[in-house]
Amino acid sequence: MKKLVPLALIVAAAIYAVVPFLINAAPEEATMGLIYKIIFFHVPSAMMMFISACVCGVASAMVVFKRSEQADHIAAAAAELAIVFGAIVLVTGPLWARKAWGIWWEWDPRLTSTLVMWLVFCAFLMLRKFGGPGSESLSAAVGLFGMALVPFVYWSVNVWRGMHPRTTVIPTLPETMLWPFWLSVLAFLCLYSAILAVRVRLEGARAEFEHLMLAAED
Amino acid sequence: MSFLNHVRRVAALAGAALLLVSTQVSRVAAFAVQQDGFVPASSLPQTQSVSAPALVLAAYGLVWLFVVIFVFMMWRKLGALEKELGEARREFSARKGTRS
Repeated sequence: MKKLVPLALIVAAAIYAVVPFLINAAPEEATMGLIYKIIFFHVPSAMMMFISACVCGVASAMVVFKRSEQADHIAAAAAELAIVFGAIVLVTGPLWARKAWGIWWEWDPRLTSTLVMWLVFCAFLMLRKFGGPGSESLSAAVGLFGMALVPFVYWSVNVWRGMHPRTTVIPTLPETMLWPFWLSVLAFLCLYSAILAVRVRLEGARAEFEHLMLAAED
Repeated sequence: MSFLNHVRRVAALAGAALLLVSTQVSRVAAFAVQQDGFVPASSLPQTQSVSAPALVLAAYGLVWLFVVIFVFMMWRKLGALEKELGEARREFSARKGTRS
């Protein structure tokens, strides 16, 4: 596990060094022109947010049903990353929308549900921080709800038609756009895995330190 | 003579001002009429067009800003943990000293 973090970071750095050139070389889209190129980091960030929400949800389930302390650390780290990547999605989306739709924000089903999901993970962390003793179980329940929102957010564009493009857009991309897109996804995945691993380890060290302090006081 | 010149100058200035105001009013009125229907992008005022490269670069920059802020926060937490650990070590060694 310790060796995987530097490896993931090296792979991410190598891809991030190449991807901007591929993005630059990718052709412009017929109706949106250059602005569509936000897709190369907006969608991978959204994918990482979904992955993080699922990781947090599964870990939260283990906290609720098995009282696993390691799972609690993973849930906390994944919730933080869901907020970070969610913030990237919620900021880069309006920049794209301003040019493509002429407005910064629209109360579209996809945009609204993404914002709600992001707020659920903010609630998760606030509950952990200010909830007092036993807040781990409560926040784990919130984490489960956060994961339950993932399919709603994902299919919201197909079920409730709004201004946001459907989920069928990515497979229709031509190869010149598809290659930089999937490379960008891989880079984000490596970066996400490395940060998650380090954050989990930090959370574990903090918990261990607290246990030692409590034992010393006793 | 000088009075006539003065009147002419004032009249010329007033005429120029009137012409300027009337052209601007007609321009605004024409644009307002166009706003009721479809407006070609080429006729939009320059302030309404947003630069796509600037937005793409802003988005790319913000991605890295968020990641860097998160890594910085993690680094600060690690620093705080190391500090607490150092304090605990000193406390333990002091306790050992008093016991022995």
